Amino acid sequence: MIWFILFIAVALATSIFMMVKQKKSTKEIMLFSTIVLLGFADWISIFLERKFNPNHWIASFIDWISL
Amino acid sequence: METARISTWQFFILALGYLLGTSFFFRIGGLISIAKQDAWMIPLWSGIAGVLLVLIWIKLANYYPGNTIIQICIQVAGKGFGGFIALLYIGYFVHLSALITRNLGDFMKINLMPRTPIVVFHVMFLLVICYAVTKGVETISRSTEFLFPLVTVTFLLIFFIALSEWNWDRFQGMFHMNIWTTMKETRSLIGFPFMEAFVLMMLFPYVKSKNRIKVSFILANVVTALLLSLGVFFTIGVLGVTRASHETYSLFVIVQEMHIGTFFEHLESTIALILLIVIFIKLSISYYCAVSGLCQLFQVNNRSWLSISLILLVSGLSLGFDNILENIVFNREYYFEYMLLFAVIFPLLFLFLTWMKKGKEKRKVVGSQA
Repeated sequence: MIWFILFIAVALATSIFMMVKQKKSTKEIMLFSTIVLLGFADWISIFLERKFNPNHWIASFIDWISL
Repeated sequence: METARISTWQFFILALGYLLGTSFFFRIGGLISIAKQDAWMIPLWSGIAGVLLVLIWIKLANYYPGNTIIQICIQVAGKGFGGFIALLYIGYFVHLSALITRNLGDFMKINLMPRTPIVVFHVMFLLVICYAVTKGVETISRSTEFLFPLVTVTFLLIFFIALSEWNWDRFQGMFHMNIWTTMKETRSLIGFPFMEAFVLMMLFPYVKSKNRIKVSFILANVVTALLLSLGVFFTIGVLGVTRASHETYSLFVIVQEMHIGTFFEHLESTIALILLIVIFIKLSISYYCAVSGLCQLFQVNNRSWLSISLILLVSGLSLGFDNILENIVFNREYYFEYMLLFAVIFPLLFLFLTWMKKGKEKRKVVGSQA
């Protein structure tokens, strides 16, 4: 997992550096970073064996509203 | 927004590839297990429901020409609430991309390369999709136009070769189903693939001839329903109900057992290639919609960085599902209800709000004239 964290940290830093160099808007950089961090959180949840399963959440919600 | 243009024919091929592609592989066994010998009828009534849904979406799109569903959300319901619904739509596109990616991974791992980690298939394929999405909708539609004949010819070839195994006795016991119970149990077929087709509303602004979108979209739905029905009929005739309902990929089994003498054998790798093509078509559309939706909602011009960042999220989400059984159960029990929100409730709400707005404007004009 440590290699994955290092990889993401380096990739994110390089990407942001390149985006700044390409004069991308702040909004785009923020959106990019948010999606990467969401993906990173999802991957960490997989490594920690507490997977985020969207199907499970949707099924629970449908069960809950139909009581 | 992208300035690309696609022809009506390209849109038709995209819609057909999107609707028919993966459902032809993943739907048939499940339908046969529920409705037995009568399963071929289910795609027909699901197709009728699909056409009715298309009429709703077209009606909505006609009120806002040149806009995608994301832009319609914001125009109808405002930046706050509309933006939230648009975000839900984008969330759905991402979820759909993860589901399709997982379908690919499961198929490859179960049938072809059981010792390769599933994440390898996901990431490799997502890289290709990311490149296609960065290039734009024109590239996706052209590659679909190029690849679709290959898929059609292969299917026809399989169809004619496998006909030698045909046995009419396998249809004995037909017309014994309880229509209402079967309709209720097979409602997921309306969800996948027919309700999923609302995703194509994201491509409406790029079609050159706006007047012919309706015809080509409806035609794609009708052709899908007929071909799915034919596919189910063919599978029952060749494999029989018992075998087909116990196989996850019944079409793959048909091809696996097919041979012409000792010369043509093990044609399953051909069908795997075809599956890769149809998954490419479907995944590139859903992934494109997710990226393009994000660009439209947050007013970003360049798609490349966003499509790269989504690889991490989609590949992570696709690993969230425990196994193929969980996906099958989710599809059968919940997918229709889940899709109702995006394909029926929100579009109807937008239509209602649009009519309210139009009525208010009319009353204002009449009031000012009086």
